[in-house]
Amino acid sequence: MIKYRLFASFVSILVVVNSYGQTKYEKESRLKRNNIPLQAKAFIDSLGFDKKVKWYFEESLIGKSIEAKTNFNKEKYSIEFDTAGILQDVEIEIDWHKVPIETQKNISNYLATVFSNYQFIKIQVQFTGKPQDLLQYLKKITIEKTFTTRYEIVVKGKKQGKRDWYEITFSEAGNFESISKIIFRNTDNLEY
Amino acid sequence: MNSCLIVICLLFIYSPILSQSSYRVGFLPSININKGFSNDWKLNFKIESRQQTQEGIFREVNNTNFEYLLTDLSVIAAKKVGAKNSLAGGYLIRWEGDQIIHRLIQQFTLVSLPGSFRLAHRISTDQTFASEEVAELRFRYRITTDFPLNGQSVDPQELYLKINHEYLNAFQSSDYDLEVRVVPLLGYAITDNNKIEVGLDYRINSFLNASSRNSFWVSINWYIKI
Repeated sequence: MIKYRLFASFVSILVVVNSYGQTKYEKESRLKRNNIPLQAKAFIDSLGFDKKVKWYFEESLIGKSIEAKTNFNKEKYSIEFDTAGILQDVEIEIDWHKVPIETQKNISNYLATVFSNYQFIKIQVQFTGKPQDLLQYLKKITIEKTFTTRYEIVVKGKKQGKRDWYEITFSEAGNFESISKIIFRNTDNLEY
Repeated sequence: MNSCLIVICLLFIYSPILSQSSYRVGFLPSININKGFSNDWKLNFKIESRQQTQEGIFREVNNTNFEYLLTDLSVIAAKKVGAKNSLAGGYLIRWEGDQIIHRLIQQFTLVSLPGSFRLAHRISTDQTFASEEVAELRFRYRITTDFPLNGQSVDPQELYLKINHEYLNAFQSSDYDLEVRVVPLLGYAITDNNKIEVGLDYRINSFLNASSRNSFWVSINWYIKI
């Protein structure tokens, strides 16, 4: 008898729990090249990447965007456009030693004041500006920076005894601009 | 793709020891309810039931009949001890026939993000107590990965593939047994906190000292965070 009761309880829990879904709207999916706005395609083509470019459509509470990702000269490129194909920014994953020394000092000073201990996870340089200016710079036609440069750094930091991951944005000179704690996707289905 | 190859290779490796071996087939549905608290604590409640539909010896006898086997109810309290790792301890009660079995569980999990997939390592120990039986101690290691079937991360309303691979070392009195589990699952994320997975839970044990025992459970998991 007890086994039937247990089975019945199991089924009833299944029904009750169904009412607890949370809604979080964030989605990203692969895009085919023929669905990309011409302007975005033209910008990417003119950069002459030698490896395959993967296109993604991103949809979140902030808005919608199109992102092109590829590797070039052993660096990861991520180029974001709006849905009309207008360039938003270019992000390149770089090593710490490629950050200018003075900028490094300012970033390190900030991190040392906020965290008792920290470790770099990812460093990205972000360029925002006119497509033509960025194109000239990225193609090394000019070394003149007529656009905005920022550093987006992901660190694992210890603060008040707790270790978390943070995304921190610094200006070109290494001055602090913003910080946000990274909330990881739910890992319950990996742990239990 | 690589993970599919691993599963195929593992099944290929195990196939020669299947002759004269016994097997069981059935269903293994489970519900995982997770509740987070302040100060990085969380609780996991799990109910899992096992029903058998077929048993026999490979290439010989088959016996088909539906049989309810057992129900497990467990509660595990976990404390985050790093950015992506946690220590946990819990208790499981099992109703199996007329018997009630108690189990204490301790585990450490570490989640890493090597690329567009996630990797979780789980090291755990448990101690099982049943009346008129010597306590059984187990030392387990499980590696789990999940990756999206579209895009770079598992987003709401998307399908994903999850694979578990686990080794369980069981010690009871002077006996030792090793159980190996391979669990490929197809998952669907309704939201980040509400996921359903369906797949095969394959288990093989007793192959060190005797003919192996194989279990093929149709696994149906529901993970929900409230």
